Amino acid sequence: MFALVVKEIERNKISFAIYCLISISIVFLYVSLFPSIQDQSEQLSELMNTMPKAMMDAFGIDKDSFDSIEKYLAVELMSIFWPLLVILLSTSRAGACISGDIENRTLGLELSLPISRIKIFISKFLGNWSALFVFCCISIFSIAPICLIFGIEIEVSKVYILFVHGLLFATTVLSVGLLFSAFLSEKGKVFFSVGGILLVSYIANIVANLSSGFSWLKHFSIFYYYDTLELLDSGKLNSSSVIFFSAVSLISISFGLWKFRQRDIGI
Amino acid sequence: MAFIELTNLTKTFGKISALDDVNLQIEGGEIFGFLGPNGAGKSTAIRCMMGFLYPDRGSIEIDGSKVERSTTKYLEKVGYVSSDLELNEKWTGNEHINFLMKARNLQNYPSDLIDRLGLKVDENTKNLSSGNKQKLAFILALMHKPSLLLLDEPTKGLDPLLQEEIYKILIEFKNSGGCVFFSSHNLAEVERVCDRVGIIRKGKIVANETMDTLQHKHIHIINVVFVEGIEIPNLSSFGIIDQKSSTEVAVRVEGDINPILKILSQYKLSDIKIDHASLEDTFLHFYEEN
Repeated sequence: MFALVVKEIERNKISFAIYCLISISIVFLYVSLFPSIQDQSEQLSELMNTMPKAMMDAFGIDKDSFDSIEKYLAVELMSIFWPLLVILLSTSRAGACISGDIENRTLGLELSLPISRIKIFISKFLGNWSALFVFCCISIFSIAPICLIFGIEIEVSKVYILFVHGLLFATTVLSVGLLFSAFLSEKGKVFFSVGGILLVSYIANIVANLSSGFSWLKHFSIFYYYDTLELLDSGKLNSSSVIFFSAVSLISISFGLWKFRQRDIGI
Repeated sequence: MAFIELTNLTKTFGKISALDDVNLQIEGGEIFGFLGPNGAGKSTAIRCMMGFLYPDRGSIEIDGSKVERSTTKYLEKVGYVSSDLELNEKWTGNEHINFLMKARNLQNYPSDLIDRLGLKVDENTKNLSSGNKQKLAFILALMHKPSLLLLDEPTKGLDPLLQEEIYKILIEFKNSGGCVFFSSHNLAEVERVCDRVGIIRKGKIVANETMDTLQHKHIHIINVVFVEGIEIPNLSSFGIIDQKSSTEVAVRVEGDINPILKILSQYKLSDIKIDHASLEDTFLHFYEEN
């Protein structure tokens, strides 16, 4: 089983390295911009005051968002680019590792081994989760040394919380991706399904923020639970977020495992 | 006890019945040829034996182990080659071999097999020809020294020299007590290497006999040359007639040949030749008749 986990970790090594480099570059870009943004934080606050409150709420921004590096990164980096990279990376890996292998007819190499489908599925999860863990470490923990380069002070404990929170989010997207991958036999359909669900989830969160009549929608959105600004404000993990991410991951993995064990694989 | 035992094996895909109550018993030390056209159910049967597909009804036993969702231990004894299966394009041959060595906990690198098949294992799989990919597939199937080989059209697209080497490997494997389940379209190779043949048509087994029985029992081609001037008797009741000239006729007789010989003995003949039908004739016979 260990060989299978390693095989999954090593999947698409080059594209994984590119994702890591992109994430470090984006962190570098945002941190390098922070001193000039901080210089103009008063003008930015005035600009924010002119914007509709509902819109600011919808995108999780407030007028104090640019007064500290943690808040600035939470709003600008961790709320937009970083989750986008994680969604792309998790979904592409989840889609490739089962549906993609069925589509390419390469899954037979693993299925012809005396290893149960349960172990094959778990090794696919563990391998890809390990790769995501490495990505989260590289992309989030690189914030501290990059801040150091620019002489910006940052609370390392908050970076650590961002890492745990980000890893939970990445695990959830990976688990949902694996669930669809276990059901479908074409990776394109997995990308489409997971992408569609996340898009609907994102819209639901925006609508819930804009309209009090639809505020209940937020509870069905992964982006409501992925609130990095509130995370840094409170300085601790939100228990409802932890429960949501853990529950969705567990349910998705369990259903995915059940389906992968039950299904016919015609290769 | 048979090495492979399929009992009432049934598998449907929607309304299509891929396997319909298939019963087969294959012994160890035997090469079993599984014949049938595209869509007859050959690959479905092999995929069920590999545990890729689950049958709707019936059972499969391999070397005494029942093939079920929960069991994969029997796969320790199975080597699998399929012309449909793809290798990982980003890996070299060596990476494939090392992966299976780790996954199967093997100690010995299969250098002898690699040398015998003449494969460059450092080459990336996507740069390998189809023949070399098939060589690698055979190395991967044989490297753990299985006792059963499940082969789904394994020589498709291979050159005659490589085919010959594969046949030698299969015969050596059989002689060492191994069992081979071999699906193919190539009747000549089945005729050459198989001890027994099963013919499947629309998911049903229509013949399951030894090679000799299959060829000798069913169809004979009787070529008769009558002496000039004799009126050729009507032999159409014995089988399909091919009138070659005014004195020569070929009759394809199915079943017992004694009645036609009795009739022919009443005529003056200049020549008579009785041949067993080829496997191709037999195969076509099953497809015409059933």
